[in-house]
Order: sequence, then structure tokens, then C-alpha cells
Amino acid sequence: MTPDDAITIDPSDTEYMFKLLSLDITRQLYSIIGLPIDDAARLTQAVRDALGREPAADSAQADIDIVFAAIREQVGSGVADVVRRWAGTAFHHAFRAKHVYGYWIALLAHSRWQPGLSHALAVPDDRRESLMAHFLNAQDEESFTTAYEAAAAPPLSDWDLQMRLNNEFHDSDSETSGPEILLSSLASVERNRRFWQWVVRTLTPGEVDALHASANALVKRTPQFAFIDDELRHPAALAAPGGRRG
Amino acid sequence: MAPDIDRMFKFLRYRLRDRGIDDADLLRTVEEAAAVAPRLRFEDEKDLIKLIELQFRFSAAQLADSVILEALAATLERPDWSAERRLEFIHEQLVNRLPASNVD
Repeated sequence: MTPDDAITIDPSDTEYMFKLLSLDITRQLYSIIGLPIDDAARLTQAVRDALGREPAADSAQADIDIVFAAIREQVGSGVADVVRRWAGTAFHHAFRAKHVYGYWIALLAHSRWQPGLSHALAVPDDRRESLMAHFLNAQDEESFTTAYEAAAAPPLSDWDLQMRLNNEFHDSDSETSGPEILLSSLASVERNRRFWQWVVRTLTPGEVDALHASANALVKRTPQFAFIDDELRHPAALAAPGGRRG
Repeated sequence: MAPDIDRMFKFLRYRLRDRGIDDADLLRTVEEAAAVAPRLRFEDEKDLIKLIELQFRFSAAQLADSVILEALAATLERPDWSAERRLEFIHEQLVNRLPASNVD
């Protein structure tokens, strides 16, 4: 397990992340975006209190520290550690590094319809079908859509309404003005993380290494994957990311 | 093209006939809406009519609630939302919003 103080958080993303965590919509979706917090209401309030304070004059890092201090004070160090870990892993992957899970998703999705690709991946034959079924299940967005629609059903809370009117989550590509796109991305990362947890539990360490090696080899020799310009992350890392080292 | 106040007034008088709205009040509301329509970027008469209708759906208590009033103003002033989008937001998020005095 990576020590929490080794998990770095990109300061340029943190204001956005904390605004997301301040929403009542988000609070209702913690379990599906990979944030195991029992006292969600207190976390939300701590973040709001910190966002309401004067920003630090010197650095974005100081602003991050203010919010984490508020979380520690009001909800406890354990929760602060969970949020810090989540910020450096799930949030980072959903917001800045979608390719980490995305490359594998592209590879496995293509292999579903191309037997040549599928057989080139080193998966034991007796678990090939099950692996694909678990993978496809992880791509199904219906559970998120249902949960989001319930969480975002009108009327918005006063706080969420103000954030919406402040245009905090406007996505210019889709014209979406709420946090739906980012929350959907977070939910996808969490579903895929759980898929890789299943893979790591189901295959032996040697089989997982073989899958990883065969996938990287396949990507290198297959023109349709030319867009994959980095090594595929090892499944064990995807199953339990420990964050980026600063 | 400037909105046809007479046409809008007659249309709305029919649409809102069961609301007991005084003709003079309705006409004044239509005239005021037509006057601010260019600034608010309500170019289509149909959208302006919908906006006026929505106004009459708010209760006195809602219009006295600062959260609702500020949200209404902020929505109407949004520079990046079309008239249709703003109307949709007001309809979805504000028209049925309980004023603070109704919340425990």
C-alpha cells in the first residue's frame, strides 16, 4: 500500500475536485464513484466550509492544505486520508488520465469482435468467456445513469443550484452544465477498477503477468492500436491503484 | 422583429384565463417583458410568451424568497444559455422550488 503522503494531488485540479465533492448530487453517489465515506454529509459540509474561506495568497498547494485541514478537523484524519488517496487515484484517472483504463477498455472491446485479437491475449480458455462477461458488465453505464438521475432530480439543493448557476461544471464540448460527465467518468473508473480486482483475484499472478505481457505485445504489433502510445498499466495497479509518486 | 404586444396579450389572456389575472396587470407584464426581451436575448415571440407564463406560475412566497429570486435573475442573465435552455432550467429547477419559509 502506498503511504498516503506519497500520493500527490495535482494542485491545478483540486479546486475543481473539491467543488465536485461539495455537491449534494455527488454525496449521493459516493459508493459508485469509489469514495467509501460513511459520514458523507459531514465531509460535504467540511469541504463547503473550506471553500468559503479566503484562498491562500501564496500557492494552490496551500489551498489544498486548507481543505484537508478542514476535513481532518470536522470529519477525522481517516476520512482525510481516504479523500487524499481518492484524489490521487480515481479522480486523477477520471479527470486527467482517462487513458490508463481507457487503453485497456479499447483493447478488450475490440477483442470481443475480433477472434484474432481475443486469442492473442493470454487468458486461460476456461476463464475467457467469464472475463469478457465481467468486462462488458463494467462498461454498462445504466446503474450510473439511474443513480445520477435520482440524485439530480429537481429541485437541486440551494448549494447545488448556486454551483450550477456559477457554471462550475460547464463542459463546452457537450454543452452540459452539470457535473454529470465527470461523475460518469468517475463511475466508469470505479467499475473498471472492480473489474480488474476480479481479474487479479481470479487469475494467478503468473496468468495476470502473461495477460499483461501479451496485451502490450499485441498493441505494439497491431496498427489499429497505434493510438496507444504508452505501456498498458499492469492489472494489479489498475485493481488497487496506489496513486502517483511525487 | 419586435414582439407583437397585442397578439401576445390576447394569447396569454386566453391561456391564463382561469388564473383571475387582471387585464391591465397582464398587459403591463407583457409590455415590460417585450421591453427587456432584447437585453435578455429572447428573440422568438414563442419563448417570450413561455417566459411570461412561467412568471405567473411563481407564488408570492416564492418571489419573496431570495434564493429563488437570485437564481431566476442569474438564469435569465446566463450569456451562454439559449432562451430555450434558460426556460427549461427555470421550469425544472425553480417553478416548483419551495421557498425557504416552507422548509423546516
